[in-house]
Amino acid sequence: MTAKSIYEHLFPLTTVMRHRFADNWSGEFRHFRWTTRNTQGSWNTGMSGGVGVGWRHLQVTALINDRSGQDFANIRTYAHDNSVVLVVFRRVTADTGVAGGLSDSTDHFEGATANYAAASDDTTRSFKDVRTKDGTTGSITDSNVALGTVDTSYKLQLITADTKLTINGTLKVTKTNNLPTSVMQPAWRVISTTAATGSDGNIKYIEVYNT
Amino acid sequence: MTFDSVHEILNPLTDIRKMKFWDFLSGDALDNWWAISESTGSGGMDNVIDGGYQQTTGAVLFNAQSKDFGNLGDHYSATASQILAVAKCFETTLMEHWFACLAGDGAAYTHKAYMGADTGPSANFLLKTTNAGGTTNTASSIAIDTNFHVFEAKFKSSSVTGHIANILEGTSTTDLPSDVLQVVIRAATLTGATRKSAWRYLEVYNT
Repeated sequence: MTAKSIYEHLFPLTTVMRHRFADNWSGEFRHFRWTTRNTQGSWNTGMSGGVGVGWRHLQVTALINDRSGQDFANIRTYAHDNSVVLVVFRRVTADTGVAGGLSDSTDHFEGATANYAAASDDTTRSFKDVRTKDGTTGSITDSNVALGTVDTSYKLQLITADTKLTINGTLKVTKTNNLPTSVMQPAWRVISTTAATGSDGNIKYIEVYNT
Repeated sequence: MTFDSVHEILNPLTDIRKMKFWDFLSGDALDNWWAISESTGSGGMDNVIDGGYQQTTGAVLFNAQSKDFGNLGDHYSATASQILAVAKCFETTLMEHWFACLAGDGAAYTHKAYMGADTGPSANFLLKTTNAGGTTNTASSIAIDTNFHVFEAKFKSSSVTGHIANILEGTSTTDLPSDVLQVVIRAATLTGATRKSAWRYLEVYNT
């Protein structure tokens, strides 16, 4: 018999679910749950027409490290050591970095004292990577998956011992250093990696849950 | 087993899907399908791990915080629907919290049923059914505590049943609601001090 509730497809009713969030990034506007943040530079942000585009951040100014993203305005309900993030995003342009994951900072994956774990496709690197920071020190571990400008599915699994990155269904990185140490919120951002204008990225799905 | 659509996870394609809603209550604010109904006190996302949406009453007797679908989202049947809530109390005395609740339009939600807490009639979680003729309270076997629980209210043609963690905890066959119903989440104080409750998940559908 088909269960009629989403809940029962995720848990038995005897289990009290932990916090969870999912966003399809489809419609005229995004969920009110998000705060859009142009941390540096001017950006055009919003739902974008076109098959499969979703939510888009497009750089208007032309400085390196211009960046724009989304977060939960520091409403942090996801654990650094027992959580999962699934995110599907696309880097559209060269000279651009796109990343999605969890962060305790409204500067997402850049803040000097931030805690974060993120999957990234960034043209300053040669491969897709997982990047983490423990509030003091940040580091990046590359996968063996080449950078690209097609939609990619990333899964981050955060436990006490490590952060695992799965790309398009294959485990690629198990990172054990500089892991985040504080409670976090979902975050996603686009950053310019040169002084050119027009950095562009889009997101079409994110799901986060405590385990 | 995988599916091509959310629809097919929940229904065979031979079924015409009925009205359904779910909300993970995560983020920095509620979406605009929620309307503020009563606003003494405060409401917002609870900024702790697994927090959910919290409502805190004012510190005056009968102060209440509630949200509903603005009397426009009364899409749910009083005789063929069910609602599930993962919710909690923060205190165990002198409060009334509607956790898994469907209610009709109108200032006092005259027609409603919920699984939740009302320390007036019972120190245990309870099932309450209300219509213009009166109210029936059916106490569960579980004492009110401050843990999250899975509450359900199932609306049928001649009864409403209340469940906690998939255990039938009460059946009411009197004072059943007969209006079309919307989702309501409500916290009220029954004393001159604040009372707080939180919801981590809500799901409702017609059966």
